[in-house]
Amino acid sequence: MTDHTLHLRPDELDLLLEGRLPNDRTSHIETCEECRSALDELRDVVAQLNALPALEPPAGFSELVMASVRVAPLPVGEHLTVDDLDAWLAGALHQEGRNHLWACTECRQLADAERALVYRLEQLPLFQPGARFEERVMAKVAIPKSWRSRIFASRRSVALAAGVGSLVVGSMGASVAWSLTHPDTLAALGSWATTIATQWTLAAAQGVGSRILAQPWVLELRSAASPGRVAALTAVATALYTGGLFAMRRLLALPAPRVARALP
Amino acid sequence: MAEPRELATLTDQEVVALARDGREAAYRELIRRYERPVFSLVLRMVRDRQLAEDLSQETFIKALNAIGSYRPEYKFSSWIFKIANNAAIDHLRRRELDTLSLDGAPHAATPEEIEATALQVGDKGETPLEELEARELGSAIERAIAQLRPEYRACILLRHVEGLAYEEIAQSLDLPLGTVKTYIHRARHELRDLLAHLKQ
Repeated sequence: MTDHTLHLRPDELDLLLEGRLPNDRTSHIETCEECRSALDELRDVVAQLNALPALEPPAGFSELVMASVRVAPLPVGEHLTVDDLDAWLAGALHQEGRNHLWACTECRQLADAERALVYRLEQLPLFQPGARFEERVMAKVAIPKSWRSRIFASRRSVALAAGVGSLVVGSMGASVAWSLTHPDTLAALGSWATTIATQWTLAAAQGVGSRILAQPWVLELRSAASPGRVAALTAVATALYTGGLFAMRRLLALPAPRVARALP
Repeated sequence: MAEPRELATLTDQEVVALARDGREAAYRELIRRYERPVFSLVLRMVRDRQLAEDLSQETFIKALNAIGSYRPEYKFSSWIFKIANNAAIDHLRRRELDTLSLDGAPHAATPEEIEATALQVGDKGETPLEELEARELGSAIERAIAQLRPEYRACILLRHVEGLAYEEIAQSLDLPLGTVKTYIHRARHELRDLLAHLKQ
């Protein structure tokens, strides 16, 4: 006896017709006459529907529809600038620009033309100069020699460099050794040199000072000087000095050139 | 000492440093890297193969002999293109003067005087070199580039053939960045028009 609770539902019959019903439900159709009949009916209906001819709309139908439809203008915004076109060529155009490009025929044509031109330019080949170009250039280039290559250029230069090096190192070593073995003499020499240098410096300063003080304009200045004038003079001199410092700083802080200096 | 194969893996700045140290292989490496870009730029500027070779050679000799004064904080490519462009532009200016003199003496006032003082340039057959030039520079795009002003030509070639950034072009040509952008956009606009005209 057939279990009616297991009958296929209409949606299951659809699935069966499309071959998508799970296997555990397909087996029911083999034993149930009622469901098999329902499936046959459904298959007939589908076949008849599929056989229906396609009907043409009346003449002027699409024009009639379009006459009643109001096509809203697209929000195109501003036309693309040359910088926008560059950004588009580099694949970096902002979203607003991309929206505009999609909507604006004029900009799209321009962008397409730019892209085609740039592509053609980028496909241009590089040319090769004639044979022996490198040799011809190298024949006229003076290669500077590094100190290392100069030293090792010949046996004589190596010997000379070794001699000079030995002399410098030897004299430095001898100087250090003598200093370590004669500390008292070294100290006495230092003291004597300091005394002499101090005496000479003082004598020179005194000489210069006495010569300046002997000048007639100094004597006039001293007679005319008052504490107030000296203070004012000092203030002016200080202001001039400070101003000079600022001016020098501005001059020295000139911007560095952006480009390496071109050759003449 | 770095072998040529190893030199090829170094950056321009590293190769320049070796050249300044007196390494001949580094000089040769710099020539190998830039001979084609420099020669192509100059050839498209002057449109004369022999002259382009001479100017390119002059460019490399100047640059390599002055490698000690090159400042490594700038790109070597900008530096060498700058020298090459200067050489080409100088030549074009000189040639412009020469071309004017072909049209007759400056003091010639009447058409007869102009004709009498004008130099006669005979029609000469194409040499193999000229045939090569015609093949290399004869395409529509090359002819359109040739009709641009030299400043526009240099900018467009450096940008789209040599692939330099706007900032590098500004450095190479000693021009403000805005001017470089303007030149390139105008050049592209003129090229589009010229190509459309040539197509017709």
